[in-house]
Amino acid sequence: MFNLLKLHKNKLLLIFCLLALSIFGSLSFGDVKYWTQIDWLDVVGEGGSALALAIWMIFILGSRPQGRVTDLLSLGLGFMFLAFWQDALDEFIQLPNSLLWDQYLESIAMPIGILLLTYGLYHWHQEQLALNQQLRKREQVFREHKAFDQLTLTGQVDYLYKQLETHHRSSQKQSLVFLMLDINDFSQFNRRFGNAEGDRLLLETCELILLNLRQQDLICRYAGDRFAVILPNTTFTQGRQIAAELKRAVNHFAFKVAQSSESQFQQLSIGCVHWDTDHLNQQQDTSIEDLIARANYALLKDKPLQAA
Amino acid sequence: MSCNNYYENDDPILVAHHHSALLIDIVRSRNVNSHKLLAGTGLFYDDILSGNKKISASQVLRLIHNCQQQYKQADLSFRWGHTLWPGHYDSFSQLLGNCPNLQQTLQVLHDYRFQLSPLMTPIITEDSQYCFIQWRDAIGLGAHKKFIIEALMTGLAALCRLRSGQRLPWHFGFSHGKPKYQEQYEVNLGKQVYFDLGVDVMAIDKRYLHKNWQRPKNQASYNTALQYCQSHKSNHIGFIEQVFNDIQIHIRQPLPLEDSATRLAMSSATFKRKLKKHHSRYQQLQDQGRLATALYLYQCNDYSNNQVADYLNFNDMPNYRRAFKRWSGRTPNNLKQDLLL
Repeated sequence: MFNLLKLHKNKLLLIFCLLALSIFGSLSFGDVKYWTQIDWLDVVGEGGSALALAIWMIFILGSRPQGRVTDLLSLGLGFMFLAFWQDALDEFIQLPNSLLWDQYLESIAMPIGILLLTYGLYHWHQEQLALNQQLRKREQVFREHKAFDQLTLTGQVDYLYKQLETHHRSSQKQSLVFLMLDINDFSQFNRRFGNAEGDRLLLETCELILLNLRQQDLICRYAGDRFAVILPNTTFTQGRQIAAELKRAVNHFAFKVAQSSESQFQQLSIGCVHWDTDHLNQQQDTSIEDLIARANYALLKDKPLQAA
Repeated sequence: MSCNNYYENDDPILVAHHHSALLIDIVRSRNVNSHKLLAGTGLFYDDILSGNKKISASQVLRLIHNCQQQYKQADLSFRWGHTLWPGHYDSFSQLLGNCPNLQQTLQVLHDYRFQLSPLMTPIITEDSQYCFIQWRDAIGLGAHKKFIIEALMTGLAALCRLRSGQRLPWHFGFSHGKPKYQEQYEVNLGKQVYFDLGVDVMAIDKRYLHKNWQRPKNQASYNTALQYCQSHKSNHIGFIEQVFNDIQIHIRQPLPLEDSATRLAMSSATFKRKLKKHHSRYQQLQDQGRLATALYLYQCNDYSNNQVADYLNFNDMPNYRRAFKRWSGRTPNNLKQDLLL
């Protein structure tokens, strides 16, 4: 968060200067009120709102890269913050009624801020739609950032279960193919080239698999080097076709290990199982656990026989 | 009889750049600050890099705690396990990584456990068909036992896979209950995984013990390593392992706490204080010992409930059943079902 905040040094500095200016201005034109004159309820209400807006602004600036949407959101919140701030300041300092800038700051900054924020939120919505498109094969329908794997940024097992449950419960009867895949001899690779290179291989292989999937497909990291892929509305033949394509793509992927000119080629093993939700109603025994167990079994069967 | 060959959890006797450094490497590859990992351990990263720093078991446990806090994902113990053996522990690794078969690998792991596996002790037994490796807490691991046992079992299975060129058909039994992240067990260990067994044990068909593995690449350096290890063999054992051994010798007639303290040449009060420092209670160690004995008799000697109760000097069956339930959380017959391989 603090790394991102550094990008917005200028905006934060500007707001800080305006605050200092408004304190200085109010003090030089008005008189400080007596304790008895202060309406504490107003102070808490207006000051609290100003504080909340300041916190929102920090969160937004701290979580976003520079850009138009960020500028709009922070400017909008900034103006609203200034209006509340001046309101709160008025509770402590008696300003003469002839002073116009103080009234302007209160009554004009607020609508401008709201307008800018609204405009900014609209663009943020547009931006989010574009991002969703990018994320699509990693997350479908619902979002839960805590369920995501830190390395590959794909869902973990909990997320996989939730996704399968939505398919399970959905009223639409459909034919679904479920793939379980892993990299052959990944532990050997890890031993040879180290954990950091192993991590990079996993990440890049995951990206490569993503490129070879369709828009409606979803990938999750199961555990270690094992990934699960859901292929909705797919016949078994189509699913096996896609599995074969994934294998070919990974076979031809020339992974470059750091400090070595030699390319490392990997092979996938894939367990491919069919899940017919219509079929399910007649045979109640196919649960999600069962599906995953079947896919894992198929995966082991797909492994090349190792030399004993 | 006094015996002063044990080490306690605050004795700085473990080499810092061995097992612990491997764990730090994994977590650091995720851009975690090394200050955060070493917080509260009293260590500096430069100490570990220096290659001559010794640390205590409680520092290792604190480090594991910090790593789990920072890394937050369930696969850390398994990844650590994959890197543990043969590892980079000088001649000991060279010896372990070049054993001609499983039987010798296990022997080396047991004989040089002070260097290779200082936190838990592998105890090797056999029955007519299977070889068992029971992992026993050596130093009072407390809440971190689960993490460490996951790493050690993954480590041994991975070492066998590396040396034999195939996944050996291990069975894994854990004393803890079924965890939420079962998929990690499945991918790293395989299908034959059991929980709530009361002991942490691995089993394999005895046929695999003597199958030949790859020959050592360099027989001469293997022999040098063997000689070095034999002359540097340490008979240091963990404090908890020491207490446990004393209990085990007298398993049929439970050894009172006072006698155990006398054997270690200390007062009962000191003994209790030391047990507390090692996150253990005397009664609990005694229960673990009796449970392990009962399971051994069931599995290896084909004893019936009556015979085991008799061996452990219980007057009647209900008493034995109640005690067994307290040790393991399950009835004898219920647990025996899972033991049948």
